[in-house]
Amino acid sequence: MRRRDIVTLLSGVLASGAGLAWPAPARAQQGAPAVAFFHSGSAQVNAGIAEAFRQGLREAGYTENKNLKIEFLWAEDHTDRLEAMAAELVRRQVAVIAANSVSAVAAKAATATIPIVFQSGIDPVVSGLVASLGHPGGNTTGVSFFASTLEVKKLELLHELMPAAAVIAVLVNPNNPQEENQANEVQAAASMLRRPLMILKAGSERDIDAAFAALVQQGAKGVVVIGDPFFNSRRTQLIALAARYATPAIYSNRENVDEGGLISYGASLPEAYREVGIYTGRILKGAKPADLPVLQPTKFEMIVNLRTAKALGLELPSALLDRADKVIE
Amino acid sequence: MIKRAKTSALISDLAALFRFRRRLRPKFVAVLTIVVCVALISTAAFEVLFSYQDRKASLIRIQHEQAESAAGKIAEFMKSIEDQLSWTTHAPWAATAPNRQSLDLWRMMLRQVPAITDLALLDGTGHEQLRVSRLSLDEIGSQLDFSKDPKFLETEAAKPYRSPVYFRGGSEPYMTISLRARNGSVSVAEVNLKFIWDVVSQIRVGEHGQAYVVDGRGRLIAHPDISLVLRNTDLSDLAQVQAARTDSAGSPESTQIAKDTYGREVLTAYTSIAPLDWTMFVELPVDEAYAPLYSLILRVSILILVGLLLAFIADLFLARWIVQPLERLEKFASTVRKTKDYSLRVEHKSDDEIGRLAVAFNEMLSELSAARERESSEQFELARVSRLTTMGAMTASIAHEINQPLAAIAANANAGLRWLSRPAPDIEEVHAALKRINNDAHRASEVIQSVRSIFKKAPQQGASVNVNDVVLEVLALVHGELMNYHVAAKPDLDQFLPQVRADRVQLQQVVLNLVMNAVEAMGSVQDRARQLNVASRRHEPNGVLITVQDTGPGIDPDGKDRIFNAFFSTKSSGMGMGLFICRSIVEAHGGRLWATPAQPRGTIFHLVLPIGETAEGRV
Repeated sequence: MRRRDIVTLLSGVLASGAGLAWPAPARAQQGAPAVAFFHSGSAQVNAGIAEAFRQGLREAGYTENKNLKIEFLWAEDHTDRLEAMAAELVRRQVAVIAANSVSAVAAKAATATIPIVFQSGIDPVVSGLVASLGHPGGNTTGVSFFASTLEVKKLELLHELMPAAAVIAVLVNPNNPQEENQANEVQAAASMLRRPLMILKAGSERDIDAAFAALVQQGAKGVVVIGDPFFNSRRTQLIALAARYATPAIYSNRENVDEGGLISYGASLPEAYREVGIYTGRILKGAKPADLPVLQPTKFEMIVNLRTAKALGLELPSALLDRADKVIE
Repeated sequence: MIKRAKTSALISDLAALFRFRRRLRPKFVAVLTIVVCVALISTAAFEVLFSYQDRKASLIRIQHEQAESAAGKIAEFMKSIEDQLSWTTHAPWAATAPNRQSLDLWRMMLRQVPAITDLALLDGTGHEQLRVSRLSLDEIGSQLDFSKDPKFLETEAAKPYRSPVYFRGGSEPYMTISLRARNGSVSVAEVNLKFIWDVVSQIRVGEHGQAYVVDGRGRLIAHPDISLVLRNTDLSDLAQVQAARTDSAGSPESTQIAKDTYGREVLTAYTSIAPLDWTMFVELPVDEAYAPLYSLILRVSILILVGLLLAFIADLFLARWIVQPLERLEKFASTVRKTKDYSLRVEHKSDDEIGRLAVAFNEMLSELSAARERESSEQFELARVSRLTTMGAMTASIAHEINQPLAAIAANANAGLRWLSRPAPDIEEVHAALKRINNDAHRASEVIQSVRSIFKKAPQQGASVNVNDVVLEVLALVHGELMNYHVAAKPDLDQFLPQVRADRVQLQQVVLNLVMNAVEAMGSVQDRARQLNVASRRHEPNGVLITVQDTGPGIDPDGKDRIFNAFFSTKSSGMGMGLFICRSIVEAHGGRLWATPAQPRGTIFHLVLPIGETAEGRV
C-alpha cells in the first residue's frame, strides 16, 4: 500500500465519517432558491414546455414547491412588455432566469450577472446571447434550435408536396430580430429549387388573418410557417386558417401537427425545455453559465398528419411517408 | 513471640498489597483496553489490508473489462455506420447518374442512421453528384469539386477513410467517413459523434465513475457530461491520456491512480478503440473505490470505541466487585492496625474470592486475638513463676531437699531403735543405721551448703561422678521406703559407663526425686506387681542415660509436658516443685529430662547427662 493510497484512505474515512455524522438535511422550502420562467407567450399555450422545464429540474434534483420556487412570467405575446418584465426580474434577484429566445435577449440586456438559460430558435451567437456555442463566456447559455437553417428543410419538404409551378408562401414575424435572415435563407433555397416564393409578414393576430387571406388571393398553394415564438403561441389560429383556406402548411413543432397541422419538421421543443431545466438545475448547484456550452438538438423529426392531408385532398408521396418519424392517421 | 511476629508480617504484607490500590484500576483498564484494541485493530488491519488488495485487483480487472466492453460497443457503433454506408456503394444505381429515386433512397439512409447528418456521393473525379442533409437543402448534381479533399483522396478501395474529429461550430464533434465503390465513386458521411454519448452514458462505473472517449490528439469526444465535449475539452495534459499514447493497448496493469478532468483522484483504466485512434477511459473516484474500506475502517473504529466503552463498563464493575471491596478491606486492615482492636470484623456479603478473603481475614483476626490472650496469660504465668521461684519456690525447694535426708534420718533412727528394742539388740544393724543417719545428716548439710552456694551464686561444684554410684546410693537411701511400699527395685546398670561431670548432690537429688515419685506413684497399685526398674546406659553420641521406670498408673498424655512445670502435681500433698527443680538441675548440667509412657503401664523418666567437658553447666 503506497503512502498516497493510505492518505486517500484516511481522508476518505474522515469524509465518510463526516457524512455519517452530519447527514445533509432535506432543504426546507423556506429559503429555497427561486428561479424565473420568462416567456414571451402565454401560459395556456405553453403548458407543455413549462412541464418539460419542471421535468428537467426534477432530473437535476429540484422539485417545485419542495426545494425550489418557480416564478412564471408570461408576456402574453406582448413583446413590448419584455423589457419591463426583465427589469422586474432583476429587481427581484431570482437565482436563475430561464427564458425563450426573445425574452432571453431582453433579460440579457437587463443583467450581466444573473444566470440566464435560454431556449433560442434564433442563432444565439448572432443575437449576442453567447460568444460561441462551445464557450458561451457570459451569464448566458441554453439550447439553440437551429431553427433558421431548418426553414430551408421545411421549404424543401413542402416543395416535394406541391405541383411544380405552384407558389409557396412563407409566413414571417417582422418582430423577430432575425426575420430578415430567415426570409433571405428561404428565398435563396427557393431559387435553388426553382420554386416561386411569396413572403408574408404577420406580427399580430389580425396580421395572420390578413396574411392567409392574401396568400389565397394571390394563388399560393402552400405556406411555410417560420419557427417563431409568436407563431408558436398562435398555433390554433394558424391551424384553423390553413384548414379554412385548404392550404397545406408546414410548421416547426410537432404540436401543430398533433392538433391538425399537415406536417412539421424540427427538433422537439419540450425536449429543449427539459434541457433548459437540467441546465438551470446545474447552475443552481454552482455551475457557471460561461462553462456550459450551448446545446443543439441532434434529432429532427418529421411528423405528418394523414387526416389533414385527406381533408386537403392531398396525395402524399410514399417516399415522404416512409421517411416520416410519425404519421398521424 | 513467634506468632506475633508472623501475624504482624502478614498484616504488613497485606498492607503492602493494598498500597497498590491506586494502580490496580488503571492496570485493569489498560490491560482490557490493550486486549480489546490489539485484537480489534490487528483483525481490522489484516482485513483492511487484504480487502484493499483484493478490491484493488478486482476493481482493476472490472474497470479494464468495462473499458474493453465499452470500446467494443463504440467500435461496433462506428462499424455499423460504415456498414450502412457500404450499402450505398453496392447499390445498383451507384453506377448510373443519380436521379430522383436515388435521392429518396439516400434520404432513407438518413432516416435509418440518425448519427449521419450529411451524406454525399462523389463521382470518380471527386465531384459531388448527390447530397442529402438534415440541416440543409438536398441536392442532385451540384458538381462541387472535392477532388483535392482528403475525404476523396485518402479513401482507398477496400479501406474506409476516417477523418480526424472536428468540431462543427466549434462545439459539436463530427467525423467524416468515406467509402469507395468499385466504380471509383465515393460515399461520404458526416457523423455526429454526440451519438456516442448514448454508449458512454449507459456505462455504469460505480456511483460517480464514468467512461469517456478521447481522440488521438487528446480531445474529449464522448463523455457522460456532454457539455464537456461541446466545450471542445482538451485532455492531452492528463497523466492517463499521456500514458495511453505510449501504451495504447492498455493492459490491466495500466490501471493507475490519476486526476480526472474535475481534479478528483480516480482509478483509471483505458483501452484503445480499434480501428480508430481513440482511447476509451473508465474511471472510478478513489474515494468511491475504497468506500467499502472506509466503511470497514469506520465499523472497526466504532467497534474499538464500543470495546473501549465495554472496557470502561467492565472497569466500573471491576471496581464495584473487586477494587472497592479490596479498598474496604484495606481501610479495615489499617483501622485494625491503628486501633489494635482485634475484636473488629470485616463485613462481607459475597461468596467469591473477595468474600473468602474477608472470611480468612476475620478468622486470622480471631486467631490473632486468641493468640494475644494466650500470650498475655502466659506472660502473667511466667511473671508469677519467676516471682515464686525466686522467693517461695526456693524455700520450698530447700525444704524439700532437706526433707529427704531428714526423712531418711527418721527412718534409720526408727530402724535403729527397732534393732535396739529387740530382745537381742542387733548392734551391728544399729551401727549401720547410725552410719546411714550420719550420711544423711551430711547430705542435709551438703544440701544447705549447695543452696547457700546458689544464693551466693557460687560456681557449680563440678566433679567427675559415676552415675551408677549415685543410683545405688539413692536405692540404698530409699530402701526403707521401698519395703514400706512393697516395691521391688531392680537396678540394671551398665558397668562400663564413662563418668559424667556433675554436682553429685544435685544429681542425687534428681535421681532420688525420680525414684520417690515412682514409688509414690505405685502406692495405689493393687492388681499388679509394684516394680521399679532403674537402668543406666550409654547414650550416643556422648551422653549417659538413666531411666526410672515404674508400673504405676502412668501420666495422661496431656500432662506429659506439664508435669515439669512448677507447681504441677498429681499428688494431693505435693507442692509440684520436684520435677520442675529436677529439670532445672538437669538443664543446668546441659542434660535433658523427659517422660514417656511405659508398656503396658507406668511411666519411664529419661535422664540424659553429657559426658566430660560438655558437661560444663550454664548456671
